[in-house]
Amino acid sequence: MKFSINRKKLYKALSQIQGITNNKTNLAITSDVLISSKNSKITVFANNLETVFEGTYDAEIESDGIISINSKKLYEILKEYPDFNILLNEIEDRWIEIGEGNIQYHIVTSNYKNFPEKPLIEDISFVEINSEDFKRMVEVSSTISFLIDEKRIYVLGVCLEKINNENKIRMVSTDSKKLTCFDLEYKDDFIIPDKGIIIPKKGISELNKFIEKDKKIKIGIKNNYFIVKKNNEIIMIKLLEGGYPDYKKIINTDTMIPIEINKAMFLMVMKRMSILCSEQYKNAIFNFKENGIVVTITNPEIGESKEEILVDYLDKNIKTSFNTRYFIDILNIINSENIILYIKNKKSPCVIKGIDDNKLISVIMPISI
Amino acid sequence: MPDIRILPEIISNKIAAGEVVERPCSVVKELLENAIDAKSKSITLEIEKGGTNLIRVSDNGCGMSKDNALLAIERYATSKIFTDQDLFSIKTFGFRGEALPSIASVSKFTLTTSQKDSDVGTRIYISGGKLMDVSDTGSPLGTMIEVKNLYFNTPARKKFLKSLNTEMGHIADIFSGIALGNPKIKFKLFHNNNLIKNFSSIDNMFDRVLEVLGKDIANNLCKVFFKQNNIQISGYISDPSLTRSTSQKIRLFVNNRMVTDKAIVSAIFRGYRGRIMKARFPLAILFLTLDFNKVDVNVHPAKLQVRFSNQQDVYSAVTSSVEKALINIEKKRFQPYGISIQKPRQKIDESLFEWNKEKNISQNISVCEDELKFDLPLKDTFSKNKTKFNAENHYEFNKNIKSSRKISKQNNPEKLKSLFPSSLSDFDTSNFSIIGQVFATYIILESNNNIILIDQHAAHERIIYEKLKKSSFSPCSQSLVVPETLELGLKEADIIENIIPELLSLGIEIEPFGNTTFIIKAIPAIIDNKEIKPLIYEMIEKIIELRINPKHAALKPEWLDKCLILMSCHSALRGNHILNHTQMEKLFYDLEKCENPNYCPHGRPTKIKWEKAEIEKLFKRIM
Ligand SMILES: Nc1ncnc2c1ncn2[C@@H]1O[C@H](COP(=O)(O)OP(=O)(O)OP(=O)(O)O)[C@@H](O)[C@H]1O
Ligand SMILES: [Mg+2]
Repeated sequence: MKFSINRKKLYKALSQIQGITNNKTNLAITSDVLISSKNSKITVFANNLETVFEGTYDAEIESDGIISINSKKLYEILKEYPDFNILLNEIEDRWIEIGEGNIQYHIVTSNYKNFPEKPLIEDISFVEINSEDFKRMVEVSSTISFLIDEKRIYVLGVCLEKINNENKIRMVSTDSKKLTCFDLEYKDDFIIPDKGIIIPKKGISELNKFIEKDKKIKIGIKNNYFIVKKNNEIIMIKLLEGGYPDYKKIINTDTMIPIEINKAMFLMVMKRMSILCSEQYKNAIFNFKENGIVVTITNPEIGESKEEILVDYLDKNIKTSFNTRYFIDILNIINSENIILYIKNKKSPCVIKGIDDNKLISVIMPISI
Repeated sequence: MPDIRILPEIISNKIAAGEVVERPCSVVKELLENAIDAKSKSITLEIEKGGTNLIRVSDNGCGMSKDNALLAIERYATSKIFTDQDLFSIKTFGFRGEALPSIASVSKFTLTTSQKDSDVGTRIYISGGKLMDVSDTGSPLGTMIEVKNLYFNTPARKKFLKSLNTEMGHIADIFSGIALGNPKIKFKLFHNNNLIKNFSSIDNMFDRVLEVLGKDIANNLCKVFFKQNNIQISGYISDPSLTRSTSQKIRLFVNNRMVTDKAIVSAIFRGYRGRIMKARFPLAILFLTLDFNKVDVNVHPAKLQVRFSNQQDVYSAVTSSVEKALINIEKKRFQPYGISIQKPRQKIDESLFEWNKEKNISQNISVCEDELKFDLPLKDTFSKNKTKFNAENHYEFNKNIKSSRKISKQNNPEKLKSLFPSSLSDFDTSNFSIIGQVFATYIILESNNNIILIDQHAAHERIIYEKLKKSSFSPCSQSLVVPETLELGLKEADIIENIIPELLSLGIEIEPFGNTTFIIKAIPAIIDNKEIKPLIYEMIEKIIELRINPKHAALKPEWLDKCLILMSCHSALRGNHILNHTQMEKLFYDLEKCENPNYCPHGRPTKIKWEKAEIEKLFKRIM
């Protein structure tokens, strides 16, 4: 195999897959990238058994072939390589020469036959969606992360489902302490199983890099994979199996009391409050009372703090408690100058919506004291 | 069936001998105790061939008249008990009048005794229980008893004896034990004519203790002294770094009588709780002194066991005495680091917070303390570009906020300071410095002339445990979007059902969900990023393992404590976790603030240290 390619083009492809190939699996070869050259095109292929990437790029091919090479090393070489084009040449079995002239690397590669096979997915019916909105959907959903030994499917993955009778899809993400719900409109016909699909958050975070606002994005579901396509590149994420819990009750604000509040101000209050937070004392007390919310926090080793926010609130007094950091996380992803907090009683969650942001609904679960 | 007959005395003595003088060391015990009862000031024990050839005890006690000596070898003859009242308040070691006849029935037995104010002494020779000879003899004041050819007429018993060395070991043990219990008396022990133990009466207790427990452990002993409800407990116990795999080195004395008592050993264990590991035993010599009429010594043929009329008081006194001694020594040991040990903080006085009072806001605020911030940094990913926010707006918003800065103005700053006393700056940091972390698990410190290694998980576990333990701490619970289901077995379900309120007090909100299924609706906020189910399974397992009936109110503290330990274990940071300097520093400070900073709640050490001198020796800088 021998080909020469625009360095930047290959570098960009490699940078998109670093997240995939850096993910440790049982197979050592998944940290490699598979490159094949044929018919004046090369194909770059990464597969960590959960997320698969494939991109096809124009190149000057001298001879066909396939190699499996360490993705991180190739990426670093491409990053530092000075010339416009770069040459990759398999000089003998499994030895690759990279570069030409003054700069030359000899890199040992793996046997490409060990590379996990690409899932066979054909005839995907794609639907085009607004890439900017989809990028935000992905960003919002990956705000709520999970920890290493997490086992709960609904924490490991996000749920993607259709909203009945509306041309909208919704992505729900939760860690069981907070939840986000992001809605997105689409035009064509899009087929999602009724109960929705669960996409691993790991894969979702790969999409974050992949989606570019100014490029057309198409999505599709086929054979247990969620597929995202951008021109000549495609990402396929293997779905998680299992049911997603019913979250709809929790975001229903029909019987809740709305309180309008300025987002930036509320965010500042939360930030100031969390100065006094600690591992064992994460929550502030929220006292909703006539025309105001009094927020207090007491941490015996540091001190205490109290702030009163003026709001339109005429209902009964409610005293409840929330983790202030969750508010900070949520407020940071709302695109709206003013927001509405919905509460009901001391055991109810707080549902948050942006007044000018009808796409996102967030929920924070209370802490009982 | 043949007719029932009264056994000839010789036979019944032999039978009694089976229980009273099971092996040579039992003979030694009986004879030594007799000598002590006779108010001797000096006692010599001579042994040949592990006691099988010869056991000879000579004392300088009151001796016996000829008549009394002859009586002494009769069964049930004793000078120590007169009325049945005496039986309930026994002050002497002997009380049954069984020892001498029993011994005499299984050996060649010679008793030589002489009383004050009498010119001539008495000598009695008995062989296998048969009186062979009584004669007058010249002898020094006191009594000498010779036991030769022990078990010569009971070959079966003789077979049961272990090697001579083993039997001698037991004899030496008993000898030292009795010497320990009677520090005012001189004791000498000869084996095959060699003097092997010599306790002079001026010896202090500590030397006798070392004699029994081993000289090399002098630095590991903690003195015990404790008094409560007319029970006095004194003695020495090993610090938790010194343990053995058996309980052999636990010696108990009740009113100077050496006893074995499993319940007291358990009470000692409870005192060590959280300091030593499972299946390890401390070393201890404890003297319990209490009213004679509170102790029944007549419960065991070899007088090795006693019964207390106020058992619970005795056990709890033992536990407290051990706890107190350990806390004392731990405080002393770690003072050189220049770290002050703090009393556990009491619940903060909320009345000091005026605005709390007037608005009645945070009455239920539980006391929590600052904790290592090991969690991930705040995710501020979107704040930079998305938040339309500038200084101008900020100013505006702040006008809307009635900030309550009056706290500090209205409260006396001194008062506030005492409320929050333990900020980092309170520590004297000059005495140690943190060198770094190894294996992402241990923190290395230099302090005075020591290298200290801290196990970060064990240390953090201890810190959290003590925080959880404070009576004032009531964990808040984080509600869950999706309640978790627990599918249990019948036995487990039964336990959970009974401890729902207690779990709630730990911050775990559980509800039955039909049959043996339960749902967890809220979890303790301090472990809100850890999986909850394994913790609950472990708690149930622990309760099963302890065989505790959770309904039993008196046992609640015990299993709740175990649950707290589990909770701290689950929330503590793990090994293999890289810490930065500040985090390590904080961990160390927090650890030193603990009441018991040297062990994790499971009893593993939190730190180990090497002295500079040891290291210099290793490098052969000094010899
Ligand atoms: N060394 C001694 N000096 C003086 N009197 C002794 C000595 N040894 C035994 N006696 C006398 O002999 C009696 C019998 O002793 P023995 O050991 O058989 O019974 P005891 O000590 O009274 O009770 P126990 O069977 O519980 O030991 C004692 O009561 C005591 O009066
Ligand atoms: Mg006796």
